[in-house]
Amino acid sequence: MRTFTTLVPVAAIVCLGAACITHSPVRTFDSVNTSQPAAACKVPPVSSQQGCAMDPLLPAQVVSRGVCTSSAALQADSLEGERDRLAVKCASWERHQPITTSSTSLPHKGFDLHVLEFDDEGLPWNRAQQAETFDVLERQLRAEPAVVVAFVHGWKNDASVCNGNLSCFRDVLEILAKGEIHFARPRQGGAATSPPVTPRRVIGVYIGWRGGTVRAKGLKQLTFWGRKHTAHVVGDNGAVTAVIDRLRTMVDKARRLQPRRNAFRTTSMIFIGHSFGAALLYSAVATSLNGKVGAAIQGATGLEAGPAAAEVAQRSLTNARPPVSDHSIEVETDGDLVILVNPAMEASRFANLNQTRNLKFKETQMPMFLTFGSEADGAVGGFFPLGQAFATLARSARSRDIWFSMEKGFGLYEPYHTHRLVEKPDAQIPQPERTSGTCRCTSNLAAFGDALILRLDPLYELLRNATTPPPDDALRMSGYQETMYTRLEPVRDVDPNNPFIMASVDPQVIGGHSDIFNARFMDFLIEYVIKNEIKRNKHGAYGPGLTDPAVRTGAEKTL
Amino acid sequence: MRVLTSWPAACVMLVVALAPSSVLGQQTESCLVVENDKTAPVRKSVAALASGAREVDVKQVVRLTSAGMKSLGNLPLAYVKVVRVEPVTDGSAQPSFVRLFEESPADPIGGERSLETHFSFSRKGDYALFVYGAPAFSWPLPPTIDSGDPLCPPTHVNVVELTPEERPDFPGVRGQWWGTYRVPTTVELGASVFVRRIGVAATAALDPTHLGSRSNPENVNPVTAAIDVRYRGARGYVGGGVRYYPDEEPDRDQLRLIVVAGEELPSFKGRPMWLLLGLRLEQLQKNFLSELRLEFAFRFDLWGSRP
Repeated sequence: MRTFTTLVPVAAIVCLGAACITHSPVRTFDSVNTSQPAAACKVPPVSSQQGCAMDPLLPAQVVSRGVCTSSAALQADSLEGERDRLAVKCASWERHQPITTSSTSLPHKGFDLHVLEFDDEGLPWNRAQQAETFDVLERQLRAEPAVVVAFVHGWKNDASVCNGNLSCFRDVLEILAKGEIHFARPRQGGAATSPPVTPRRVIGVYIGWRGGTVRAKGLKQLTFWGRKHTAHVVGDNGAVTAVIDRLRTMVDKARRLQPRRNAFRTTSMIFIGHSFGAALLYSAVATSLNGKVGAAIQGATGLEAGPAAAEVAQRSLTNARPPVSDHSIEVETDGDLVILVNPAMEASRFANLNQTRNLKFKETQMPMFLTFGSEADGAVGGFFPLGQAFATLARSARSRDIWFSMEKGFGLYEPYHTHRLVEKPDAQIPQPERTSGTCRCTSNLAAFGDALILRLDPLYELLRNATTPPPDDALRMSGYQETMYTRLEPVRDVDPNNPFIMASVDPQVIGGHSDIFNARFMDFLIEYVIKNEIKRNKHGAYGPGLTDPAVRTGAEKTL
Repeated sequence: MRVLTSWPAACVMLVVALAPSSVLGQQTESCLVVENDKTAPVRKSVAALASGAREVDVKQVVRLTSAGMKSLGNLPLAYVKVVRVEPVTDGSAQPSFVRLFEESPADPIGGERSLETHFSFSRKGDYALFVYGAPAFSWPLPPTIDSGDPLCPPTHVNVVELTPEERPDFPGVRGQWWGTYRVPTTVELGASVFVRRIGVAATAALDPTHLGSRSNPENVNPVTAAIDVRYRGARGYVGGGVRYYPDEEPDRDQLRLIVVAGEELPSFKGRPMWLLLGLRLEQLQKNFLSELRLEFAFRFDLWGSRP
């Protein structure tokens, strides 16, 4: 027994120490210690570069930086598959081949996946490579409208080619790419046939960090405190914030060149973080969010006066509840959503933003920040508070409620909940399914992808046949909403235009900490983003549509 | 929780009316009842709540009464729309909030089923609750309940906000009892009584590895008992007391001083859980540091405990 109790801590220290010493990237090379990629990276991929449909305006040297591949090629167990995976491992830009009409799959015109990796201090492993990525992104965004999705992975994950999160992210991008083609085709609507719409390019940005440092089972759990701290360091140190700002600027510039008559022709951008990746993303955007909310409150006349003044004063004294106001405010946003799913950080980090809960917002307010915490998330619901109990030993709390906000997970602290996402009772809802295999998404999202797109047809028909924009009350993004599989309900009287949604999620919709890539939740996100784009288009949240050639020329000069 | 998609309306007999409805000048039975969720804190001594008012930010259960169920007829879906009547909003319509009713758990006594949903009121003031029915979900069109007529007169709810003195963290006299797993091999039962923040606790612990033949010198003190005084803080409690060891052991006291600390973890199925740390002094002597033992345990509160 004594030998065992000695060996376990020694083994843990050795393994964790080794993890710290072997501090290296997985998708690029460390430009501080090396000037060239590994020799193995000289092996060319099996897939042909010509297989990828790229914009002809892109220079040849830009095109050559990417690796042409496909999900099928990466999932192949053959020697060719192994060579493809090796080639992809050496590149930070995956160009996925298009799928033409097939009897087994809906077509898509290909998609791009860019990988940006950061070290434990939040610095890019390879600045030159990151600069190249931005160069490519900027050219792509200027060339055509796009759907840009940035994903930050969580604990125990990284940017390796066949990482579970990355494999599922590829499936998501493929579904979006198929959707763009499917919904862009000409349709029979009543007496007339609607004209085809040019599908947008789907671009993924995968933000990688060292979420997993130990591969040995059992010892992985011991990395909780170190990885949580690292996630916040990476988010706090500014490089990820800079990436987010750069992406937003590029997207904003591209949008200004696009007509805003059709929501599905304008470039869209979404940031998604999961687990500790959500903590990282939140650390990167929280200062900006808090600043914008503070400015909106400060700028709203009458918040500290009028009928609610006494209530504001009383609440300020108690420090227990957010202030109230009947004066509409609007928080500045360009309509790009930040979405946290099962975030693994303490709820108290949301304490300041929670003051928006009882404020009134204008009808034109765009949603900004969505959090979804599964009620079945054992990692954040069970293990996380236990970790926090030790991590916060030296800290005190003013009240029992505040203590719970310090130890409970971000999406699981009930006093901050504004909504609940619930599954509809419908036999047609795809049930959870697991699969395995090289480079495959274990939740088997790809298998549901085509059916999901086909089932969304009625929604798209409705939107395309609408001659006028939907009324404002249909676009209150924090109000009650029904989607194909789910419904989003307010659990308190939060303003229907509130840009912050903190939702608990029915276990039937997200069945656990890692069950985020399932058809039910993906459908909800897709539908929510569609409505968000329609609202942005209606209210011109990014400025006037530059359809006039003279204005367009002027805008192009600013790029 | 599963949403009821069809049910015979006549089978529901739950009748609890909280607030009178007088729309159209008629005194009718209310369709809804609004009451505290079981997780709501107890506030017995507050006069405002005694009059039936609801408290700000306390989770409420909104339940259809038998009149509400009858008004639904054969409609499978029921919605509640909560409209904030007071305070009045300037320049725009009063805000409203919609929720779908779900099937409530079976009444353990009557076996009746009803429809309910949860809602928290964030503002002090007056609210009106309307019931709407629908034949089906509305996707891809948005729900049309705003344009329809409510099924019955509104139920009015008055919401009050209590001062900090009226809602202290740890009010009155509270009792707890619990089971503990103490690392590595001890289980424990305990109970405590707190008056506001000060409490007294008693525990009895069993280490089954020390059961067996009394001739074996290892088998001493399988059962021990302790008593301590505790102070309740926001995170948990700290306290001190003594643990009694019935069997004499060499170089050990029979009454050993203990320091206890507990940190409250999120509850599991409504029952609080705790992380416990303890220090035990095996023998009172000048060089006491070598006699200190660290203890580590998990506590699970049992039914009826009030932290």
